[in-house]
Amino acid sequence: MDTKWKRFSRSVPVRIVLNALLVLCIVVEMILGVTMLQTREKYERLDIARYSSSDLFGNEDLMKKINTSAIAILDYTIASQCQTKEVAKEKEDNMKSVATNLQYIVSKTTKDGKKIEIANCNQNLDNITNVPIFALYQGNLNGKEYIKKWTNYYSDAYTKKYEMDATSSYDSTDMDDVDEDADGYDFSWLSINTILQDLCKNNPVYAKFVAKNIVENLSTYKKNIKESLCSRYEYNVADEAMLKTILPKLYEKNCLNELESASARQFMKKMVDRDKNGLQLEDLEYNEESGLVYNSYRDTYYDIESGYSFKGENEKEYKKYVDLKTKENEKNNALNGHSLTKEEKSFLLTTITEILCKESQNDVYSGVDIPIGTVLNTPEKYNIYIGIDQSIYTRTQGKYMIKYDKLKQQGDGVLKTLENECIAIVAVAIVFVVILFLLFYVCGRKVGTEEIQFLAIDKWYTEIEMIVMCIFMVTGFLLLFSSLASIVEDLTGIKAHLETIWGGLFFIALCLVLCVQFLCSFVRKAKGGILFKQSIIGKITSVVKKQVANSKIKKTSIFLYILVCGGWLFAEFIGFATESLTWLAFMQIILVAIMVAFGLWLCRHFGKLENIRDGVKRVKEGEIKYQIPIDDKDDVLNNMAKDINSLSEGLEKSVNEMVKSERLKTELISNVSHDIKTPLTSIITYVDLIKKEDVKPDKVKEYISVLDQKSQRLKALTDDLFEAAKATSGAMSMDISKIDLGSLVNQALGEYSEKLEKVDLDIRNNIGEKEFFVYADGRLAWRILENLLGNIAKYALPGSRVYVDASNDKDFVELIIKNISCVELNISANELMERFTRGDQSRNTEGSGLGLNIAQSLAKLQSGKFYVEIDGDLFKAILRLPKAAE
Amino acid sequence: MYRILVCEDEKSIADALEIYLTNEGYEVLRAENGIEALEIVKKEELHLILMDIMMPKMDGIKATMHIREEKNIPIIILSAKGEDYDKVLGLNVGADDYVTKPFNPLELLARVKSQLRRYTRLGSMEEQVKHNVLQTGGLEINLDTHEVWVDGEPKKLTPVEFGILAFLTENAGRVYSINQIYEKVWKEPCVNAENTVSVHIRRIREKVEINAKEPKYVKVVWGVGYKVEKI
Repeated sequence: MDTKWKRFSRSVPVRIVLNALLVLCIVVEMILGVTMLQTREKYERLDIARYSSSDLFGNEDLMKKINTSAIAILDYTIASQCQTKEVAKEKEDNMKSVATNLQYIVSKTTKDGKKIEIANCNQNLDNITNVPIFALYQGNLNGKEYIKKWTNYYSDAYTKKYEMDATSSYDSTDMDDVDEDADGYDFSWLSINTILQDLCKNNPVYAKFVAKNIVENLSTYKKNIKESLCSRYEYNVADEAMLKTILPKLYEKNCLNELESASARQFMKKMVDRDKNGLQLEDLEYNEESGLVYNSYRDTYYDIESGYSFKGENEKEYKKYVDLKTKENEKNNALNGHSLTKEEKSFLLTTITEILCKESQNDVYSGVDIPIGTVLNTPEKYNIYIGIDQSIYTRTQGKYMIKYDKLKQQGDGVLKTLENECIAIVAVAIVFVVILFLLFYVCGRKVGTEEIQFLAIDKWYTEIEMIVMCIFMVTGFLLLFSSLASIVEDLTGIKAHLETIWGGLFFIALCLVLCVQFLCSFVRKAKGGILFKQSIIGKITSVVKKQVANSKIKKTSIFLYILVCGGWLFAEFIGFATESLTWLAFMQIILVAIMVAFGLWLCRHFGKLENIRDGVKRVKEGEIKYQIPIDDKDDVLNNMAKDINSLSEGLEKSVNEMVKSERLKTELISNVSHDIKTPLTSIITYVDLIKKEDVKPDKVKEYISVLDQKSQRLKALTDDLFEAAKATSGAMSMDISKIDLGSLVNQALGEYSEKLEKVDLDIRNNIGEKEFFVYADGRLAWRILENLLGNIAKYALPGSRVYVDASNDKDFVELIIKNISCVELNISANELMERFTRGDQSRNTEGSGLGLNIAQSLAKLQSGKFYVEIDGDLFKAILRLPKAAE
Repeated sequence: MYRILVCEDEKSIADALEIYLTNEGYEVLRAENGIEALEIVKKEELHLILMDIMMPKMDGIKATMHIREEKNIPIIILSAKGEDYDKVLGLNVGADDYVTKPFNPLELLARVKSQLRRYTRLGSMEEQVKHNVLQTGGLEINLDTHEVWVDGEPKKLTPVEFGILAFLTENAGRVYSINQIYEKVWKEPCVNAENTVSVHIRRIREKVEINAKEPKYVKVVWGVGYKVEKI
């Protein structure tokens, strides 16, 4: 099962299918995306919000009717009180004709408690609470209550249905009258203030009437006219003096201070404008204590009115102003609450009338906020009801509602589609992700092996892959957005560029597919464990690690190095960040200093290094007692020098010991040799003496000759034995020099010519006069040849030929001597080289059996090689000695 | 009658030496160590000393040095120590010859005779100024008569052998290669001479030297050539 699944999941078709599915997913996603955008566009084009967010669902006809009706009612209300009866009648008729189908009652209660009805539509008012407009202007109804009533109405009929919440963020504070927005819902089409202002404008009778009402009830309306009066005080110089006396009576101290500071501001502005020395507004400040303007730049105080100035240090003058100001304040405070004089009242009346009547109030706001109470001249109790008949509302509003309903239905349908498309997109995205992970699972695998299969792209460094992938991603996103823009454009306009959209989508899909390939590459690398290794950072890290590991530098040194470099870079960065040239220059100087220090350090160390090198060379050349000079600093090179010094001390010691042991060895051999040779001498000499005596019987003579023979043999044996011992142990003095092997062979052959001729051997010397220079000890080399030729004389087949050849090789000279053995060589060449080994047949002949072994040892001593080869009866001795330069 | 001091701690060898020397007609005195030998040297008139090296109390090398401070008598060192180093040391401290044990009695006697001859006879010969006579140690070559003497004993050499020996003796101490010798003696370029020179030199050695294997005069410098030692 497991293997089956493995084989299946790792097969190539699976990968291809997954890739294809991925592409399919992308294409489907693209199509879905375009469709969704189209759907959204469609929904936006329905413009449902236009209806739902405006009052009365945008029923403009009804709004207009209400507005004109309200104007007519208010017009009549004012006219009935201040105009002639004819005019009032005219206005009443107008009201009645305009405000048909509207419900209205205007009434007031006089001071003596009499209720006077000014206007009445004479309709049944039982239903009146159901109508919003009716609820709107019920006297001083505040905004909150209005909203409540409004909501009550709508909640019954529409609010719930259309999910509108007018109360959500309504700000109830500071709302004496509701005429403006209640969070997005536009009520500006109906503003009582505006209507009243419009009515008073250019109508002196109305204006005067309203003004008179205001002046008569100043305590109630003073806050309404405050702003107008203040601005008047500020801008109309002519009225200033009068207002200066009126205002303290009407308002608290802070109001006056505000005015004061306002005029001070103006003064300061003028000063700045006039000043040519670049005086700034910030340099000036209004000193509340003294009522002066202070110029902090020049340390001067200015009188706002007269422009008189004095220096800041003139405390006397300053104090004078402070006293003046304090007195003025006290005076004003005392005035507060005092009733106005007749002139003042009449001035106020004229001023307010003028303000109300004035044609335009362009640059400065000085209008009077006219409360409805002023119109009726009953601040305490009054009622104005204006409402619309249920029937007219239903009649006119219905078609808007139906239209809205229809749109809403349509919009809901579109939204549903949009929702479905969204779900589809998410679903496809999930499928995409799943396929992607499946692809991750199978990528890099191959049937029949556990090893990760890398593609050519995996050889790229990870960072490069990432960058390329990012480029593709960014390109894809840019294409996506730009093509989206064009989609929108094209969908709203002409559909001619559809192929460009699809082209763009194709490229987006391509980018996505490539990104997926890169992701797969990452996964393969991660699976193979080379994601980090095959990255630039990884490479650098490994190289640095290797270097650090190889160099065996102390951890503290590395840390110090990083600290210094990092510190310097950080300081340099600070310099760049603060753009401080001095700092940067300073850092450069530090850098130079560091470089110089480093240079000095290098010089010192190179000097030491040279010393060490020289010392090592001298020790190498045999001057083992040489000590490298060191100083008392504790650095690497000094330590190294110390180590080398102790090394050479050790070397010297070991050399001494070696020499000593060599001497002991030599002494031992020579002592033993002496102890053996002394009795042997006696034996030989006495045998010789006996031999000279005339001994009888003859048998004894025979015995003595055997003794003689064997003692001679014993002598030869001991000689060879010690020779061999010395050669093997190396206890042999050597004098290696450049010698000619050719001459040596000729000399040796000369020495042995007689013996060789005796056994009738034909020497074929192929060396002749040729020279073969080798490095060897001539005496020892002769011994080798002596042993060899001795062997040949003893064991070569008489009458046979002996071949002597020499040849140059790269590093050595090879001498080969070949002869035919007279006896069967029934042992191997190696055995023949062993000590005391001879061919069985030659056991009884003279000779120690050490010859070849000695030759081998001697060759070895001279860095050469000696060995024999046996081929049937052919005996081949080969001597190699190190070649000397010509 | 020549008096010979045998300085040897090994009694058997000393006995044997006494027998050989007495047989030859020499008077033999014996000492067992260097100190005894010095005493005898002081007291007695001697013509030759056979000196062992390894002896108790005072060894042969030291004894030789002491004797040489006063006397000029020939000293032959007779030692079991056969190393070149030992031989060089012995000859350097003043010994006239060096024979290693175990020795060939005949060779030893020959050396003794040769030393005695030299000691007793050559002294007077030094006075005569000889023309055309080459000499090194006990080797004398008369270029006019083509005669060769070794320690006063005439040797018979072939003309070629004489030529080689004369040439080498004339330039005693210098080493000549086979080719050089051939060209000088045969007076023609060396072609296919091979071991001719070597064979001749071996023959010269056999004639001139007491022990051809340990030559005193005609020496082989292996791998280089031959020379006659300048003594």
